[in-house]
Amino acid sequence: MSKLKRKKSIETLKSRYGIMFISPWIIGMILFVIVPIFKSAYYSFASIGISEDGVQSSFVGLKNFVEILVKDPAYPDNLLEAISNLLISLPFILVVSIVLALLLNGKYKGRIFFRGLYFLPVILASGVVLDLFLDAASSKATQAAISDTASFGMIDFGKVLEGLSLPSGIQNILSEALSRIFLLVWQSGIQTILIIAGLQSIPDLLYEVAKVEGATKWEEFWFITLPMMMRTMLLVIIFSIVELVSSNTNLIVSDAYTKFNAMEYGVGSAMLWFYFLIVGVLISVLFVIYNRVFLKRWG
Amino acid sequence: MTVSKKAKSRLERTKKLSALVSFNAMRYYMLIIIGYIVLYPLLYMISTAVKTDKALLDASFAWIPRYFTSERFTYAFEMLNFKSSLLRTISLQVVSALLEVFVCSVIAYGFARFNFKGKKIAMLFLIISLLIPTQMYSLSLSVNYREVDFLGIFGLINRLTGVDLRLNLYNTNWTFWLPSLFGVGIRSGMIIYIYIQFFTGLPFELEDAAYVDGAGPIRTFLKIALPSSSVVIVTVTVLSFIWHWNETYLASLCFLSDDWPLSVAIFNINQTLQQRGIWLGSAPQAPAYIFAACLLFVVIPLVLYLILQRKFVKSIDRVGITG
Repeated sequence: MSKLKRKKSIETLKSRYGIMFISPWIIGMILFVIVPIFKSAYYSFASIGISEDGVQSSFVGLKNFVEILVKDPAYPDNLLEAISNLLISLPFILVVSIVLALLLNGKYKGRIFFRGLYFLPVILASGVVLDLFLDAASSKATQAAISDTASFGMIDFGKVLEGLSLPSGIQNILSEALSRIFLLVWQSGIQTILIIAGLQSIPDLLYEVAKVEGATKWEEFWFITLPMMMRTMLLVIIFSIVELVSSNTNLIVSDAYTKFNAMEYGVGSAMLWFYFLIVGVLISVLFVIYNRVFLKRWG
Repeated sequence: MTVSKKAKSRLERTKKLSALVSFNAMRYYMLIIIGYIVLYPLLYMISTAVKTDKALLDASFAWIPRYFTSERFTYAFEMLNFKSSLLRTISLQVVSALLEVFVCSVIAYGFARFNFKGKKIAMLFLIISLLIPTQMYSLSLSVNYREVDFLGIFGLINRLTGVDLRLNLYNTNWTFWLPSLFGVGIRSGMIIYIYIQFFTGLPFELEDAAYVDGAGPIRTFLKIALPSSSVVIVTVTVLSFIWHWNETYLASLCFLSDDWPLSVAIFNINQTLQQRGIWLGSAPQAPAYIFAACLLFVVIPLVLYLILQRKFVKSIDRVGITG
C-alpha cells in the first residue's frame, strides 16, 4: 500500500519536473510566437503606422488583399513562380541530398576530408552569400570580362540535353535544375547532415543479416535503407520546405521586405500571409499523402 | 568435384572484389566532381577579389592573376563598417546562439525524460513550430519590441494611471537574446528536436542512480546528462552559430542602419555600392568588391569550422536522428 503511494508520488514529482523544465519554452511560445502570429494576421487586415509616440493601427478589412491580388501586377506572377520553384526544387534537393549522404556515408579513405568539404556550404551559405555570388557572377560586366566562363566554366548543359531528344517538358525542368546545380548542391547541406545522422542510426544488424542472405547493394538500399529512413526523410522534407519558403531569395519574401522598408506594413503582411496559407495547404496535402503511402507501407 | 567448387568460390570472390573496387572508384569520381561544384564559388570569389582592374578587364580568364591587389578588401572593410558590425554580430548573434544552445538543452531534457500532462500537445506545437517560417511573425515581433508589454498588463496600467512601464527594446541586443532565453529563438524548434532525439537515446540508468542518491533533477541534468552530451552539443552549436550568423530578416527589421550586424550589412551590399556610384551592371569592379565583402563575412565562421571540423563531422555520426 505504502509502496504504491510512494511510486505514485514519484510519478507526480517527475511530471512536475517535466513541466518545470519546459516552462520557459511554453512562456516563450506564447509571448514570442503565438501572440506575434495573431498580431501579424491582424496587420494584414489593417493599416499600420509607426511614429515617435508608438504604433497606431486601424482596421481596413480586405483592402490589403485586394491591393496585392488585383492592383499589384507583379504579385500573382511572383506567387506562381515562388510556388512552382518550391515544387520543382524540393524533389531535386531531396535527391541531391540523398545521393550526397550515401556517397559520404560508409567507410572509405579520406572520408573526414570529404565530409568536411561537403559541409562547407552549410557554413558559407544560408542564401545571402550564394545569392550575391550568382548575382555578381552573372552580371553583364563580369560576363564580358570573362567571356569564356560565362556558364561558370562548366559544360553547357542546355546543349547536352538538346542532344538527348527528351520531351520538351522534361527537358525544361532538367535544364532548369542543371542550371541551378550550384544552388541545389549548396542548398542541400543541412539535409545531407540530417540524412547522414539518420543513416548512422540504422542498426548494423540489419545489413549483416542482408549480407548473410546474399542481398546486393541495390537491394540493401531499397529494402533496408529507404524504409528505415522514411521518418528522417519527413524531417528533411519539412526542413527543406521551410528553407525554400523563407529564404531571402524568395520573390514574395523579398517583395514583402521591400514593402516593410517602405512602411507599408499592412500590405507586406498580407503578401506573406496569403503566400504562407497556400504553402500551408500544400504542406498538409503532402503530409496526408506521405502518411498514407509511405509511412503505412514502410514506417 | 571439390576442385570445381574451389574455383567457383574463387571466381565469386574476385567478382565481389572487382565490384567493390568499381564501387569505390565510382564513389571517388562522384565525390571529386561534386567537390568541385562545392568549392567552385569560393575559389572563384577569391580569384576575382584579388584581381587588379586590368586583370578584371582581361578577356582571357585566369584563376591565378598576374597582379594582386588587396584594395578590394580594404574598401569592403570600410564599406561594411566591419569593426562595429562585427562587434554587433558577436554581441547580438553569437551570444544569442550560445544562450539558445543551453536553454534548448534544458527544454529538450524535459521533453525527453519526463512524462507530464499535455506532453503530446506540447510536442505537436513543437513540430508545428518547425513548420512556421520566421517571416510570418518577424515584423510584429519587431513592432512588439518597440513597446514591450506583458500580455497587455503594462498597457492597462498605462491607461489607468498614466505610468508607462513599457520598454523600448528596438535596436537593442535583447531583440535576439529574449527569444533565445525562452527557447524560441532562431530555429530553436529544430535544435530542441535534435536534442530530444539524442536524450531519448541516452541510457537513463545513470540518472536514476543519481535520483536514488538524492540528487535533484537540475543537479542530475547539469552533472550527469549534460556532460555525456558533448556529441550533440558540438553539432547543435555549429548549426546554431551558423544560423545566427546568417540571420538577416529579423535583424534588419529590428535595427537601424548604423547598428546593423554583418549579415544585414552584407545583405544590403548592393545598395551600399550603388550609393557610392558603383553599379553591378556597368562597373567591372563591382563583383570584386562584393566578393571581397562576402569573403570578409565568411572568414570567421570558416576558420572556426576548419578548427572544429573533425569534431563536427564525427559528431554527426553519433547524434542519432531518426525523425
